[in-house]
Amino acid sequence: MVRRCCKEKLFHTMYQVIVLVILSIAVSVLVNALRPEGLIWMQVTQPPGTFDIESITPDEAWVLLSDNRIRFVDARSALDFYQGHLPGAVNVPHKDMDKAFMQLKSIVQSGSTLVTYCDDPECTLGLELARLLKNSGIDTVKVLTAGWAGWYEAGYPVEESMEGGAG
Amino acid sequence: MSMDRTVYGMLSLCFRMILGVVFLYAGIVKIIDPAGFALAISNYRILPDILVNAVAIVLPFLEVFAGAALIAGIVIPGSSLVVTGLLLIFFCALFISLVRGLDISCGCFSTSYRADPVTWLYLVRDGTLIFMGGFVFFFDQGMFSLEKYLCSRKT
Repeated sequence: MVRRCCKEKLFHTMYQVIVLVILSIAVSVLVNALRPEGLIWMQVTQPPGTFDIESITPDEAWVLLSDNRIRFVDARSALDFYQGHLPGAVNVPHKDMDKAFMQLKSIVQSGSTLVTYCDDPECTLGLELARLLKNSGIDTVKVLTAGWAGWYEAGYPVEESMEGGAG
Repeated sequence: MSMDRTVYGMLSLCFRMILGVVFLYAGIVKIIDPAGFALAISNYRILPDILVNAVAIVLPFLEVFAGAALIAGIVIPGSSLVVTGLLLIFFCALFISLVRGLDISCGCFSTSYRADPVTWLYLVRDGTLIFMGGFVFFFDQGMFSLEKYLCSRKT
């Protein structure tokens, strides 16, 4: 008798769980389809969450850099930056974001677009920094998804120095 | 015996409200910024890339519905099981990333990567919530339950 009761309770509970899960899936499908910033369900080519930040390739970045229309922002550590970085880059590791914000803002006000980057497409620090800048009110920001490795492999020039740190 | 039941019922009601509010809040924050939440999930490097966005889309709604059900007192066994199950999954994810030494944000109550870097305290917090979820699952007496109220009106 007791066993039957437990079995019934378990069945009842599992039924409720299934209802909750199905309801969540149904509503989330609907909401995601209706909202303009909805995500693509299955996505492997770009890092997740990149849709709100425009991505840029090394070739595009090189053309814009030649026209002085962009400024690179290196989201990696100071040590990585010291060992090599993209031309004219400003080093802004996570912890230095607040200190560097005014400097970045003045770069944007002078008409340049910020292009953040990290090591390679696997590293999301560049994207995270770009999102943070965008949330802080800097709209002209893009991300070099290919990162340092992509730039280096494409054969474009790099710099080695301590200059350009955030402060 | 009935005194025990009342105490258990009151405690369970408290835990239901706490869990309900926590899940409702956590879910809404993630619904507002799905891309940020996708990034937070992806930083854990546990799920295959192809599943990251799907989880980022569905999970917040599951949190909201389970949280709302707990507060309202509807499908309490099911919603408390969902909440406890999710908390166990979060516990494992937090534990794995702490052991691996990943310097990432929790993605628990904020989708910003700087808001809440994962520490061992998060495991304690998660463990406490798991205890509450288990307590509600096993000992809830249906106090202030909308479901119970509606059923009693029918009969």
